[in-house]
Amino acid sequence: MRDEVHLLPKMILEINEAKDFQSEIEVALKNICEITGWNYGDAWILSKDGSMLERIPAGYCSLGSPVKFKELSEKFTFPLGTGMPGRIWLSKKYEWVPDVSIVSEIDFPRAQFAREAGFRACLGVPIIAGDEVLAVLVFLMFESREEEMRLVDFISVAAAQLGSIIQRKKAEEQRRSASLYARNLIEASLDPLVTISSEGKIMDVNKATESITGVPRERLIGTDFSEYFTEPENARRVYQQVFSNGYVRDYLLSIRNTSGNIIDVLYNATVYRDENGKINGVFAAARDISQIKQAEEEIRKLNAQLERRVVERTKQLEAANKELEAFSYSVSHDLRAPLRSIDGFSQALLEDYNEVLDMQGKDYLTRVRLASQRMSQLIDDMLVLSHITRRKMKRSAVNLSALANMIAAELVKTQPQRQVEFNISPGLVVNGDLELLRAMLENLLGNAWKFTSKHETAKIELGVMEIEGIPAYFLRDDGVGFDMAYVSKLFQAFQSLHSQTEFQGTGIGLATVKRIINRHGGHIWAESEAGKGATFYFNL
Amino acid sequence: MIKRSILLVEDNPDDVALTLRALNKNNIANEVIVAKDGVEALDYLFGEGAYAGCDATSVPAVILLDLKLPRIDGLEVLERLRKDERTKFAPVVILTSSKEEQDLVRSYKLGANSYIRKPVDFTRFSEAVRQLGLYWLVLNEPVP
Repeated sequence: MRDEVHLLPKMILEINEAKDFQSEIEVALKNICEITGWNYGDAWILSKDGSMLERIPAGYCSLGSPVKFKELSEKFTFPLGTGMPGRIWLSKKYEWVPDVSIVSEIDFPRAQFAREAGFRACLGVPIIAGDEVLAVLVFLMFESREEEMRLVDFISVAAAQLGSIIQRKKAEEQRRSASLYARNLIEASLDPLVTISSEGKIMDVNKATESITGVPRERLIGTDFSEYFTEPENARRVYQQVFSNGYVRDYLLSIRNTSGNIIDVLYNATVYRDENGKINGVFAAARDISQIKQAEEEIRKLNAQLERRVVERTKQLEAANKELEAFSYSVSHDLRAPLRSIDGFSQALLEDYNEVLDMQGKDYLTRVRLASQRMSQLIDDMLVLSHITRRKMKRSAVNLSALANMIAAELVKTQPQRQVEFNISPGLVVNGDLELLRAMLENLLGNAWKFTSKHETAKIELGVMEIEGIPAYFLRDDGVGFDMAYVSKLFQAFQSLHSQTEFQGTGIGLATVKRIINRHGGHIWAESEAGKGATFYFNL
Repeated sequence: MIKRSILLVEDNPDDVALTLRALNKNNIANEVIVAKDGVEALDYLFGEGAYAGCDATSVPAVILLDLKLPRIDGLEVLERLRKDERTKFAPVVILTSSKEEQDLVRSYKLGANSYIRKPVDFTRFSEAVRQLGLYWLVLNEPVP
């Protein structure tokens, strides 16, 4: 035993040097067999799905041992609890069989192959790490042999060593991959990440830090972090803040790239500590916001451009308005002058040449006069329409009922003999321009008055009702009405649905009303049946 | 008593003829001086230019002033009249086609005594002239 035990360190060394699990097992099997005289060794591990044990390719065959047994074994699997490896996996205890050639195939499924190969003694040993069985080693030899504590002890010690080595290597591998994972994450970050010592020296950086500064990491590490910012004092002040508060959030700094570019960043940093809670330094991230800044700048420029355009358009609009004003001024002034001449001199002819003119001549001149006066009325109405469009709105609470009553009283005065019943709902108050609303009601009521004039008695009604949840004011009369077929022409300027001989009018009134309603952001529509009156609805 | 003159400032010959006719129809027999633009009107009132050397002391009984005039317009004529001691109180009736609110307001601001919009209907125009003649030439007591 003593001889064998001092061979252990060499075996451990060799196992340590093995590069993976397969070779570790192979080295272990080879060493154990050679030291203790087994002719064959193989190892069994749990299959991936955990249902059975599989033989790993690594194994040992002494010179002259039959290859066929190995080949047959390679195709073998043991369900958990079955066969020697299956039992050992569960019991975690070794098994010694002095002679496998005389045992039952039920307990030892490979017994027949072993017999044919000439194997006799058999030993199975678990490799345990912590509480876990990593593998089961099985050894065979050509001679029959009773259980030997010496051999069992040695092999158990070797197996235990193997177990701890495998476990340690596994842990190291895990640590290594965890650290690689962390490093990969840090490198994968698009934000520059830096760790800074309590003295302000850069300790670690990632790829993004190299590209934002333009400095390779070996030259960054060990230098003062603040020198890469356009305002080093500012950067140092922020750094102090991290130490006093534990963190800093979204602090605006600018990094100077070696190419001379300035990159605006939001600086975020926290302190980080060792296992004992002592501050090790600062972990800082910088978010490149130059694109956001660029976008903001772009937006600012566009806004300024828009502002300029609005100013320009406003000027153009003002100019257009001025022109329109000048135009209507000139229309009002210049277009009327010739009309005065036509009317005035026609009248002069009628007066001064009364004797010379026969009835027909006088009739013609009267027609000329009427036509010029009508044209004058058209011009005036047109001016009213344009005035309403241009007029500045002065909004206030306007009592439509009171306005309507006043207008109705005026209308009655013009033809006191007419029998007209006005039915005006009290308290109709709206928000709007008093003068415009007065003009609107004058037109609507004037129309109602006009188009009921052919009836002996008439009824004119102003009220409010709800249509689709919105209050709609209505003005209803029982006059001649109009044909709904022409309703589309109703609110167009210079469109009259009645002949001049029937009802006088320039066809401007309802166009004016519609403009006034539009300027209040409202709608107007009408319903009628010829001969049965008309109703005008509007909301404001 | 010598009837004081009427100054008609009007560039449209038709309007001149019609105004004269209306005055005549209403038996207003005062001498009517016609100025075809603002310059002529001011020359007449202040004895300058074509009227140099004429007596500028007698102020017309009424000045009928159109607004839209060549060279110097009616509002400017009015402004100059009101600035001058001689014509400060001369009755000025604006006689115009325009019923633009701004013209009305500016005329009154500058010291117009009356503002009449010439109607197309001659009968109504004639009636307006009759009334203004009655008021300014008969009823009104001028500044001494």
